[in-house]
Amino acid sequence: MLALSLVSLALGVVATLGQSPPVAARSNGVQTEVEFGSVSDGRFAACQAGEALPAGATAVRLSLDSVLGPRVTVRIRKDGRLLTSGQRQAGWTAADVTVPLTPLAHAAAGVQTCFSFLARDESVGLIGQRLGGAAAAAAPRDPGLLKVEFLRPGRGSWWSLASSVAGHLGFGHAWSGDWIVPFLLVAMAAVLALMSWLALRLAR
Amino acid sequence: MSSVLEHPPRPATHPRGARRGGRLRAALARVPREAWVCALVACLNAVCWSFITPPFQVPDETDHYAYVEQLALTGEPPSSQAHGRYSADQTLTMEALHTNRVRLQPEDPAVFSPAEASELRRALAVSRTIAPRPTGAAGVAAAEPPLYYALELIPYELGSGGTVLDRLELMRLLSALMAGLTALFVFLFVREALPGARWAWIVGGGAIAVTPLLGFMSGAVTPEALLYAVSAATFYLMARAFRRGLTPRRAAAIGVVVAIGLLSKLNFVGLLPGIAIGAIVMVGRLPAPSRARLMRAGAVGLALAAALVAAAYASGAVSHSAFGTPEAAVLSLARHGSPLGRADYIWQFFLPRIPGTVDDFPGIFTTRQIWFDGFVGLYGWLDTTFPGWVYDVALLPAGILAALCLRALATGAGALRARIGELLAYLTMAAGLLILVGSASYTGFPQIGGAYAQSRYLLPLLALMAAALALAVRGAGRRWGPAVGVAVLMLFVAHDLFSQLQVIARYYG
Repeated sequence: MLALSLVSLALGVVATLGQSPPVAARSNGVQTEVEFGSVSDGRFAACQAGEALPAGATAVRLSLDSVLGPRVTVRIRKDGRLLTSGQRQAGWTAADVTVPLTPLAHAAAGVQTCFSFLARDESVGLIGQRLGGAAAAAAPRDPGLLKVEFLRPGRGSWWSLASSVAGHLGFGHAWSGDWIVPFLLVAMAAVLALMSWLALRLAR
Repeated sequence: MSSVLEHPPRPATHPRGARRGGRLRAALARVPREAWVCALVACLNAVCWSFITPPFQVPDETDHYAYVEQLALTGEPPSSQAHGRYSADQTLTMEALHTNRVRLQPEDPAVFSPAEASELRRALAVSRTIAPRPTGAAGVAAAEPPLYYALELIPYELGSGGTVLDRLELMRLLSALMAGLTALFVFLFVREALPGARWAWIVGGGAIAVTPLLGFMSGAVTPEALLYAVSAATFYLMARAFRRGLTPRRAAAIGVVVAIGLLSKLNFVGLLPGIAIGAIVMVGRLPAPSRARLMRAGAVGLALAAALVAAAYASGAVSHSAFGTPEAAVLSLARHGSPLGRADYIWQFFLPRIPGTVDDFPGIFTTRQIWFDGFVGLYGWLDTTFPGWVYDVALLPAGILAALCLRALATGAGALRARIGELLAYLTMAAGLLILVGSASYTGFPQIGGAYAQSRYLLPLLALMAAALALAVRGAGRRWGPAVGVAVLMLFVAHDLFSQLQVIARYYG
């Protein structure tokens, strides 16, 4: 059983690292500078025009902020026709929410990204850039632009990124340096060995 | 099956006149080797987490660091009235780390390039030239009791010649040691609570040692690291007293641990009702002549706990803020909202809504989405998650383990009935903590639906989780039990490993 578990674990790690990490394929370039609005009661729906939907996008990230966010629905339309849609269940926490989408085989420019949610009591912050003048007056509940990013699987696997990830792990810590990754590998190998020893004790 | 729930004969008592040091050595020598291995694994795992998680990317770590710095510089705890910024060196370091930009925004990685690393090095060099000046502010940490922070003064002072990051990492390593204590006491609790099956202790202790949420939290600067250890120790001492009988020495030990818990983090208050029920049950079991002696023992324990806590409060070591005194905490909790509304909210905070009541969490199945999913994987500032399907897949092993645990309980119902008082004490300890967390969350409601909706707040109950895992393995029966035990241990190892990979992908990918 232990051998089977260890082999399964190794295969799981190999398979996971063989996948491609999601990358931001397209962003509308809006900076997340301010919370230009806050919704705490009722249904909120808004659309942002002029977005570009890349081919194969598997998710869209919107700069909405909440502690226990409501269900968010996204619909991508072009000329009134629904191209793709997705939904994120309630309960998310972050300063942005990622909503899975059904990927399209082709890209589409000039699309409208529409999102809606039902806020009750707990506020949902709208983060991005504030609109000025007439544009703001035309949309009093939504006087700004959210950051919208479309995600899709990257071209390289985690294996191909291993050396750069290892390099990044060496930055920004106490005693930064190349030693951190080998140290982590040795320490986790020791954890695995000790847990295997415990597992062997079970059979006795 | 029932053997796992039944108490075996008591071990022989120590020979009279044994010296205290010798007794301690003998007690340590009786701790099984597997327990020490569990402690070592938990410690190593938390050390790994301490290097994987970027500085200040654990909930409220910025505030906890500020508390220790304030304590180191002034000898006094911070004031909850002070709403200023962090000290200059901490602020400079956080700016160079882009702490606030990275926090809550999964698309923003940690320090990512040689240029950013150089900028950080420059900032750290500048920060070393600044004489740290206390600001008196420590955010949400200001209301917490001082014991954990006082212990963290040791690594803080050890790193006083270094940078903020050096001190922070040394402080994280002390927390990692506390993870080892947590696993050790969890193992010992399972040994006392389920003494009939040695291998069940290994499964319980081993699984907890590599629980990723324990590693993540205990790999950071937070008083919860100490709270988990002292809660596990409390469960252990309770189980030991239930199994071997309440003596003055054991009562005093429980009293000391309760005092340490109360001086570690206020959440420990949630365990008190259960501890009190346990004490009543244990005293009630005794024959009348012994009862008076044990009542005195109970009074000794209570007096010890009260004296330690009172001394800390009287010396001003505990901040007198809105939540800084237990009486203020109770008053604050009592004045917000109606009792019925509060009770309904707390119920829904953990369990499915009762039909006919107002839905306080529309669209959210709290048991699953907040507590289960949060345990499966929610790291960083609650901004680092697995892909959605992982949480669905995790339901399968969790469901199997729950079913096996129920089977073991059903099969051992007779033995369970004989220990109903003990079970009641543990369940009250758990319920007390849940009510405390739910009640605290209710103070922010409805503006914030679940201010304390985080699985980490339930980790003081790790000992009970370990017992449930041990029972589940036992529920698999003699033939399959060991195989299921190995699978459980490896499942938790995999959970830990993939959690670390997910955090690495989020911050460094």
